[in-house]
Amino acid sequence: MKSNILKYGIILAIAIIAPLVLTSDYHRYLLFLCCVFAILALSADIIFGGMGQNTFGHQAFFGIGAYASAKLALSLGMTPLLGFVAAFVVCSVVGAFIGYVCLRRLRGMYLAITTFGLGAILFLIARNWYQFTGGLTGIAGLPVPRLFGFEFHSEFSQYYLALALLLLTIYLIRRLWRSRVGRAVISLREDEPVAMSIGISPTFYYTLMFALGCGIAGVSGALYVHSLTVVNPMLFHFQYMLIILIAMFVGGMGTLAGPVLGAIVYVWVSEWLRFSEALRFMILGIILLIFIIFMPRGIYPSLVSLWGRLANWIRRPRLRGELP
Amino acid sequence: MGSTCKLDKKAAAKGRTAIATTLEIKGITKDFGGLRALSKVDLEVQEGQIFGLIGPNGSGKTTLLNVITGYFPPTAGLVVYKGTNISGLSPYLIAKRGIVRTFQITSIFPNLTVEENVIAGSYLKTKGSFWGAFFQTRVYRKEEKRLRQKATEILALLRMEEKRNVIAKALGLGEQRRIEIAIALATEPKLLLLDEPAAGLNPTEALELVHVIETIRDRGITLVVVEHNMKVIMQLCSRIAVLDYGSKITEGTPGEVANNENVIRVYLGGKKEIA
Amino acid sequence: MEWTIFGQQLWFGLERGAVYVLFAMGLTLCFGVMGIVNFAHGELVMLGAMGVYSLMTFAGLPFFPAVVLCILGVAVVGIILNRIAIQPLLLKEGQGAWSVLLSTLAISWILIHGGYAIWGPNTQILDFPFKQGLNLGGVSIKATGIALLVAAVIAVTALYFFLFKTKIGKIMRATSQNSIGAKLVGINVNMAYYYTMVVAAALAAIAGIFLMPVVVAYAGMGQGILVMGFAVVIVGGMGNVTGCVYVGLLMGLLEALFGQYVSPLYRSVFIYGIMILVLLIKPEGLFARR
Repeated sequence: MKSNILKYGIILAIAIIAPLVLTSDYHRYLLFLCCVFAILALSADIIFGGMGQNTFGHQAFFGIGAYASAKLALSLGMTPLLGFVAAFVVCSVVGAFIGYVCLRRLRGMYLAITTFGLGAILFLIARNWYQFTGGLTGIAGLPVPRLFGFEFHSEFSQYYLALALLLLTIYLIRRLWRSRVGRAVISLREDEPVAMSIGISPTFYYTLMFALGCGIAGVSGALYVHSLTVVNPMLFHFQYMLIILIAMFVGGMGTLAGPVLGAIVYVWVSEWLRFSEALRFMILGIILLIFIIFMPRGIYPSLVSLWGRLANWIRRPRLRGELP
Repeated sequence: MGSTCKLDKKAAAKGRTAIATTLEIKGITKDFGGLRALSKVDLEVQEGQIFGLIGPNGSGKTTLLNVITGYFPPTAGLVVYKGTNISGLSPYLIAKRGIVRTFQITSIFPNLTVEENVIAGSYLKTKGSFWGAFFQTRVYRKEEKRLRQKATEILALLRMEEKRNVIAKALGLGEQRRIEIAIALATEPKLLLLDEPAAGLNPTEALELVHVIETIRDRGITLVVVEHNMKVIMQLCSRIAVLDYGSKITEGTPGEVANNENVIRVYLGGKKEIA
Repeated sequence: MEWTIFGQQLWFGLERGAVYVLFAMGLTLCFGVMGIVNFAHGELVMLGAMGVYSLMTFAGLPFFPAVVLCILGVAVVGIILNRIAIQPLLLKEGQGAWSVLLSTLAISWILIHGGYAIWGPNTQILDFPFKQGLNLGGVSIKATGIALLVAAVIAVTALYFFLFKTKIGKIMRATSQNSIGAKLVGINVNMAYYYTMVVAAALAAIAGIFLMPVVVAYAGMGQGILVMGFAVVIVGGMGNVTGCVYVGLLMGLLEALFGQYVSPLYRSVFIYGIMILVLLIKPEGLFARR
């Protein structure tokens, strides 16, 4: 237990002092992106890793949350922080609806194709409904988040806001899996008929978890656009789903650290490949492919088992005369 | 009369004259397209009984269990539990009423530890909301402790205590069977339906299973056991029903059923030692 | 009611339907025989279209040789796809089909952006050798459309012949019904997988080639077709080739009519609405699986 606290403490300390070390605004923006995508990936992992289901239209909620918050901030003059809450609510409701409709009957491949199609359709609607979404140019002039008069203008402050939300998300998800609700969902994932036989309603929990996952995705979208101050339909594009997939599979599905790690890897690699747009996506695709074929569990679980083996090696009983 | 004598005497001593009928199956018919899997099956299970259900492979025993516990809706007929019609309800609603089953193919939560399996089983009897877990309130922490204690107690009953932190899928069949029963017990059921619990067990394990089931009965839980293993059935049950091709061909005490001509014919087409 | 407009849309619908049929047949074969969802199928269409364009424009080949070469080329891509991204994952125990879904997704992404890198972001139009068209009562029927329908009819007939009359076809059908049983009987399931990919790729290539004059071609064109193709396959029944033919044509017609009389922008939304309705009522598709 003590070693855990030390580990988390060090990581937290690094996260907090990072923008003080990396002083360029651009680097701080990258750190901000890591947090945004980490939250997005974690929200999808509730459905993929936690529920054992899938959703290939998750990126749509990135967009829906962004627009929900943007519209409310512009028309009602609300502080975007309330917009975040609105984004969560809107996406939860829509997510609950879609989750209920889809997960009642569909599983596996059928679910994947349907959610993929739904995501594509929502992108199309967002792009064509220019009266609402501003078409391809989108809507500009979004306010930055405000809290008690303080405005989050700088990349420096925005990073800490994002970090706070990320920590909140991590804590929420961690507590979720240790609660009665979370255990019910895990039971459903492990063996649905058995879970039903002990009183767990699949429809109820699938709808609930879908709502939660989509709601959190909405918050990440809102967070993203209020820093960008522009919102446009490209947020609904499948490329964000690929970011989610890369983060989950490269990082490690079903864990807390995995998607976060994956998001960091994505931002870092994407940045390194900045010189060529087309090549960038191609290489990301190749990386994803390599991981799916050779390391489907992702980096984090492999690291954990590697660490475990290392720890065992250090701790194993020594024969007399052997050096420590 | 059979092994419910003890319980009958207890009930009589408490002044109750009639034994409650826990489960009534009335004229259950189940068709799958053109195939009739169950045909007008009638059964009555008394409270505190261990009721046996036997029959050759394909006779519809598991289908009957599936219909009773809501995995298939009946094509015709009623399932009545303690006077309430529960036909066609969803499995989780039936579980909420205290009816729990196990599966023919051992079904547990493979990637969880043994202890986590049992704690997961306690779902229905776990107090607490998500907010309790989120803020780690005292209620939540007390409940977690209680769940752990309950799991210990159940695992002790099934002699699985030392394996509590082993990942379930790493264990052998006999142990996984016990986990399955442990999960069912964690729901604190009133009626427990076991689907071939002795399948694949060696004689020693089967004997242990009999002991475990009797202990469960002694806690006041009514049991319905589907089995092929005649030794187990004959030892445990006070009443047995025999299915063949979806119909009930006879019902009675173990002695009556063992000597019933139809049963012998259906199983072997000749004389068989059933003891 | 303007019959010419209606007739024109019927013709467009038929053209689009033919494309959907070719595309969906390949997709549903992959699902039926191998149990996988091929997310890269749209890109096979794209390769067909861009391939023929490149062969004619950069290699200077005349039309027919370019078409043949292109179909062969895309078939080879199908084989390579099978070898690296499909077969090894299916053979690994556990979630084989799931991994293939993801790997083909990754490959689709690689192909799309590889395509952008090679051909740039601009759209291309193919110079078709036949220019004349017909005019039936005011409905303009271009030669390209006729070629498409002819190609589609030939392809569908050839496929049926292949599936029902040849030995390989029988192997594929047996594998689709029971892959474990097929293996037990000694059928070389791996070969069946290769043939399936080859056939599916060829069909996609044909769809792409003849799609070019109807729709402009660019590296990202596969995605829109994929979305439509999924709808056709689900409504028609995953694994059901006959279902694809009927549903594909129907979808094409419905889409064209909806586009004309209701809204051109939201055609796919309409088609998707139908698909979702079908999924909720009858997930196996309108036509029960063969």
